[in-house]
Amino acid sequence: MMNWYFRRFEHRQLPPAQTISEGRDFLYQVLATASMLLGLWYLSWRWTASLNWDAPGFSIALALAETMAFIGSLLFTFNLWQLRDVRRGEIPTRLSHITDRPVHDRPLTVDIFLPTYNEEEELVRLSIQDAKKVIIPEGVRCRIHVLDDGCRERMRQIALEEWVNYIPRRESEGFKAGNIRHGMKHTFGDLMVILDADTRPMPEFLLHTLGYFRDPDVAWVQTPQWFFDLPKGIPLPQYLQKRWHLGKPGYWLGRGVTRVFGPIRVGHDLLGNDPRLFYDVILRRRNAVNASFCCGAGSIHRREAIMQGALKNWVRETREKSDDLARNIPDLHLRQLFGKTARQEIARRTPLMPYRFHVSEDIYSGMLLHGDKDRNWKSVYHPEVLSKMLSPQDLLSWTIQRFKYAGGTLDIAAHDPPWRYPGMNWRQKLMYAATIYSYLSPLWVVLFLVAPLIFFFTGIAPVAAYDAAFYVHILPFLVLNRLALMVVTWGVPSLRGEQYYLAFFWQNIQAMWEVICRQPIRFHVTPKVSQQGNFLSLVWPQLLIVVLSLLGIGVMGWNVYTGAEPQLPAYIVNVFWALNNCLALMVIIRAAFFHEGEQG
Amino acid sequence: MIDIKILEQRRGMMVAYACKSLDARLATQLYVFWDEHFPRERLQQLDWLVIDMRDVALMDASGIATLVHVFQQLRGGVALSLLGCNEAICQLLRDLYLDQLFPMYDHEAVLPAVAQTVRMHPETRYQTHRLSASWISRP
Repeated sequence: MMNWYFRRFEHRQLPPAQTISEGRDFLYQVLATASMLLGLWYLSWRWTASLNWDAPGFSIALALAETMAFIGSLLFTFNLWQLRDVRRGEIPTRLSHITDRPVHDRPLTVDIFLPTYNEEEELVRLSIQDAKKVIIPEGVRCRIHVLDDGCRERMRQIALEEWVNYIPRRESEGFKAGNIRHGMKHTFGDLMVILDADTRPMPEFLLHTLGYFRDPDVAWVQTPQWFFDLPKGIPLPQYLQKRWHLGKPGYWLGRGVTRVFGPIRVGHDLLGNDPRLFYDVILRRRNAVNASFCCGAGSIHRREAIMQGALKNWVRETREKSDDLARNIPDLHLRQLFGKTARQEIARRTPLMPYRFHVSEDIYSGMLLHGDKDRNWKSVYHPEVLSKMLSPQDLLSWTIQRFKYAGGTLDIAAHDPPWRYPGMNWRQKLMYAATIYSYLSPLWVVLFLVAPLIFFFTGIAPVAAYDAAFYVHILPFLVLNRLALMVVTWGVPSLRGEQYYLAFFWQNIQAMWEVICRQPIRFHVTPKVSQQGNFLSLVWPQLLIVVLSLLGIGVMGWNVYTGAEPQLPAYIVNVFWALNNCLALMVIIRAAFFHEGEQG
Repeated sequence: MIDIKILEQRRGMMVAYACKSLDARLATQLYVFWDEHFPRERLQQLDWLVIDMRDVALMDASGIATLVHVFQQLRGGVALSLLGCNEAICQLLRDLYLDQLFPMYDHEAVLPAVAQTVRMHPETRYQTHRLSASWISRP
């Protein structure tokens, strides 16, 4: 089954990484600076001259939402400020080549880990086979390990058939992080390649990543994740002709539209899985301040860094817990004695975790290494795709994955935020803050979605007047902001990312709620095969907003037409606003009905 | 090849001699070695565990992780001490703030005295009271 599935995508070409252009960076910096200054000008006008004091609550709430969104834009601009790749050295072949500590020198050893739990065994076999094709530089030793949390006999057999090491685990404590920890106990590679069960490395993986470890401070190298089975969609003419049964007229209508607007493929990456905006633009530009994340699959790690980080955090956690317990003892001597005793006991009960037992174990573990003030570990994002993997193929799988990202990141922010780590410089902290802040977006996105509805059904506008001053203040900011984004993401699709920024609000709210209620973020393995059915139940809030928006446009339109509401300028602005919201929300609603047949 | 050479037990104190380098390669063997030869039940009978590090020239974080593993198998109140660590290892342990958890001794001569001290002054042993032990373990 899996072979059949993959065969359809094997011919797909790797997307090229964005080219480095100093000119483009300069242009972006100019546009972004101008955009941010105009944004400040717009916001100062909003707060001082445009609040509608007839509806102060609504007006102030929206101005606050705009301000919060602007802070997000500032962080985003800081993130994208410059593109600077890390230089790599010659491929190391001995342990002494990658460390500055005294060692018993020997050939460099690399472990390739394939953690699996319940994925289809034949799917893992494909990953194993590709891992076996990885070119091993001369002098380097490499072993492949299948880490099976499912303890499956069939998986063991496949590992034997493929001549790779099989490491089963009976319990699944700590999920993937626990599985890798278990694997680390049974292996000794100086470097560890972390893959997912469906991650298929390319032959050049080691050739192109090992060189970075010549720098003894490099803790990990992350490579881009490429979902090579993204739905291509169906060209608009064929879609209208066959799916909408419009025949030849539909075909020619589609042709006409594409002549004007360029090629349109209906259903192309409907779920917004294409990660290039994140990897090629956001993560890559964090190299400049040594703040690129670890994203798990497709990365290679220095064992010594991971273990040192684990030990330090084990000690830190132990100390914090014992200090907490001893805090209320008034007598200093007793407090010290109790603290020391408690520390021993807590240390005995606190597991050592090379990778945090957390739903976002990759970002968390990376954050802890960046935060090590004594060591200042470095991270590298390598821009070239060196592995391929499967994307979630339905809304349920997609929601599980995104919910994990959102919940995990917010959980880190709530319980162990990066700004607590003295080892991070302010730039690194800002980068982590930018990621966390982006997951707070529903706080203001909800208002952006609801504001037009309030106007349509009550006639109350959040702005004192939609007059010339409004357009003079907002349009330059919006235009320059759009231009800056276009320049910095040149060649990288960003539309879906922008749409899902709005459309994902409900799932984000749910993740926030779980963190606020201190419920543990549940870990689900993202399904690797498409789930059946439609998933309307997942998107009912988005559907509700679309229906109410369209209804509101009609109701207020009638009122304006009949003269019951004399607010034509406000109506026009809110119609555009509501339609923009609807277009973004329709993507996720459409995705609820998406099935594999629409792959194109 | 396991590098722990001899294990001897005297007066409730076990001394484990380690040599060469305690690194990731040896760590995988050490986990197996400890679990096979010194299962938790046996380690739980000890009053004191000293690991003789005088022959250990090099140690990395994975090697230290094996010490943590052994430490976590010991009974509450029983310390894991290190004897004769060289300067580089001491520095590594200090960098990782583990010197606060694993007492380090320079000379073997100190050991019996320490053991004696423990016996003569039981109040200096860090033995968690069963009530606070259950409290600490509460999630």
